[in-house]
Amino acid sequence: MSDDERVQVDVIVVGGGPAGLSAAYVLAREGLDVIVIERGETAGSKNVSGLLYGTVLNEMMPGFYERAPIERSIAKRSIGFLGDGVQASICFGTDEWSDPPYNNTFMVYRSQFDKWFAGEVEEADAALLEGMVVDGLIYEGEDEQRKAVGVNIRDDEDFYADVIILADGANALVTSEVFEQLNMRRGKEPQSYALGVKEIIGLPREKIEDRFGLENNEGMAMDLIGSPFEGLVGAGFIYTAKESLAIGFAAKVESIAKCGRTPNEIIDGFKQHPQVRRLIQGGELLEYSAHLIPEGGYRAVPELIGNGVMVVGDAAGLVNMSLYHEGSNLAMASGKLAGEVAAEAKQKGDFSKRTLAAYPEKLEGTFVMQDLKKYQGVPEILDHIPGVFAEYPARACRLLVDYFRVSERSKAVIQKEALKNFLRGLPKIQFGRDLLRARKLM
Amino acid sequence: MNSIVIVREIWDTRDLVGDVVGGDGELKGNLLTRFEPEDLNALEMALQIKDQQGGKVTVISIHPSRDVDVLREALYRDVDEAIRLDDPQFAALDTLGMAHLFSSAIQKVGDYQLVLTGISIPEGENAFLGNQIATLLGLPHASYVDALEGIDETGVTCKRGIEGGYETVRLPLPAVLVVGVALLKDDPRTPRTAKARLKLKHRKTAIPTWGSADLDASHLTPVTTLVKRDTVPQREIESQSIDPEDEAALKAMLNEWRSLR
Ligand SMILES: Cc1cc2nc3c(=O)[nH]c(=O)nc-3n(C[C@H](O)[C@H](O)[C@H](O)COP(=O)(O)OP(=O)(O)OC[C@H]3O[C@@H](n4cnc5c(N)ncnc54)[C@H](O)[C@@H]3O)c2cc1C
Repeated sequence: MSDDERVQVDVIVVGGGPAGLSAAYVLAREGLDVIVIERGETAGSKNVSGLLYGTVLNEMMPGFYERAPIERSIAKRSIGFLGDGVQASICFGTDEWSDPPYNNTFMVYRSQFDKWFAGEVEEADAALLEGMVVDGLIYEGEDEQRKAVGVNIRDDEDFYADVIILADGANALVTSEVFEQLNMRRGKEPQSYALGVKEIIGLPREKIEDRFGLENNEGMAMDLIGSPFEGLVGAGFIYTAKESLAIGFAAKVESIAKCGRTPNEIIDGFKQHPQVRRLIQGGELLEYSAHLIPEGGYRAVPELIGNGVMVVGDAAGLVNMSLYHEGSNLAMASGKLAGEVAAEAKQKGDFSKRTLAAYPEKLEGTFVMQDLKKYQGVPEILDHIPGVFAEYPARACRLLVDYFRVSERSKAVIQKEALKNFLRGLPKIQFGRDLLRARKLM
Repeated sequence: MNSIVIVREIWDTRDLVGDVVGGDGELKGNLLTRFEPEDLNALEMALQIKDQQGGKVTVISIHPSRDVDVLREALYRDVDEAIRLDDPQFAALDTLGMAHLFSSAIQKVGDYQLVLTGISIPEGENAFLGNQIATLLGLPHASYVDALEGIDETGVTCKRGIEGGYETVRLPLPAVLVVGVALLKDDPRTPRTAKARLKLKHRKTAIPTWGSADLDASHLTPVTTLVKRDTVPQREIESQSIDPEDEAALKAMLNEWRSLR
């Protein structure tokens, strides 16, 4: 490149999160000329998430967990129910989860993890331009022939590429404009969003290991539903890091607006629940962050390709919002596949929509689309059983507590009364229907 | 007109909540770093002179980069040369030791009319590096410089902040200018950002390192040593919220205040 020639490369990736970095990694390893443009001062600097699922990354970089900045590998998980003054939880795990590959579940801080990942991508010879914002794409041609040929970088010059991979995350301002420009199909349903809010609370390592029953670098992931999330379509989490805890919740944006509490008040209420308070007690608030999560699922997934563009990760709404709430793995799987298809397109010298169609076709055969399809009813179910996050869990806790109440009354009486309390004020038919629906979340 | 700019990488404490320094005096949390903002202002001044009059800009920094490599960042803003001072022996220098090293490096670069650096408030409240370099090099200097009004072979005129206003001073060249605190966002002197093309061009450019063998290393034993560091405990404020409609609660609050007085 001479000083006045225009910059033209094989692929430009917009966004340096897990999706964009995976695409860039694959492309760079295939020897393509690739540039990643990331808005953050460093990759991951403003990104938020809970757990990182590592199956796809482990395929790309076997044993990555030996080198990556991982806080703890998750050896124990629990699902907890919080009621007013009552609680219940199931905690599970196996010794296997303490050994590589650690059930592919890791607690990471994205500011460190993404930065490390970005470093590996640079090492593989992709160019990473951090602290630069893509304002939009550059197009050529009309109608069917119209294609994306480059990007506008804010306060800077335009760069050109044969393919542009859109990995700009949940907010996806760039992607959304491309849909208009290239006349790409939106999802069957409009995308909907959850707001994820997270605090990092510093605690000494020994305290964390004592409180959560952990050894060495083992970690614990707790998912919690119940009374702190009254009126919300959402749930909370607590994940252990080395010397801190990540605590937070994710809830449908509309439900937050409707519930009459601010995200701050919700997280404060969560932290004040007696069961939660004793876990975080004595800790010091280190950081607060919030981020959107697309949660419309399969039915909101748009067309993933256009002439000269592919959409990956959260920008494409590839998040599994069932009980598993996986986003990172789907982001990396889609990024990797898009990268592979772009490399093939380069070989053929054809970047039309027809060639790029191999990306959505192949994605259909992976866990990404299969899981999204399986759980396509989830958003609707959640909207229709408002009780699932607060009322039912609270009742279930109460049932257990009542069931195990020790007294001199006969067990038969105690059990009958427990059940009666559980069912009190509960419309039976609706409960039956909700139960059937809720099955689909598993 | 050739300039040499001293640039530094400092802890980025902007997004932190709570205490930054632990009871043991160690820095806590997942601290990242940033380009010392006043050094960035100093760099901008040098680059503007280069834009207007031509010449060369050289940047010098000390120590390996932690996360934001200020030297590479300077290359991304079109400096001509970047030099890192690095040697295990440079680990525990005090400001005077650093000033000796930088002076020696500046002399080694040679052929310059201006040495610029930021005042560096955030790290160590230590604004003396530039002044000490000037003294060691035997050059005139001005500190709290906010703007350059003019520069030619006979000297430099600059505007410096003083209590309650500004004064404009003129110095013969070569001179050392210590640049003041970060400028407002819409200030025409706002530091430029890195350029995408230069990022591509310089992402692998080798940055030469000068160690104790390359420089005058006769002042590496610190004169001032750190004995201990204490933190000022943050004041705990317990807040209460009261419903403004609730008259009884308001009265109770007033009574509580009275009893406190
Ligand atoms: C609170 C919370 C908890 C979560 N918990 C989990 C979990 O437990 N497990 C899980 O698997 N997933 C979880 N997720 C989801 C997960 O974080 C995302 O699915 C994942 O980060 C998606 O990766 P991505 O690369 O598509 O997008 P992102 O990680 O959002 O990356 C997009 C990148 O693009 C950049 N960008 C955006 N616009 C531009 C532009 N115009 N120019 C340049 N750059 C731009 C952004 O700065 C960002 O770095 C959680 C999310 C939140 C908010």
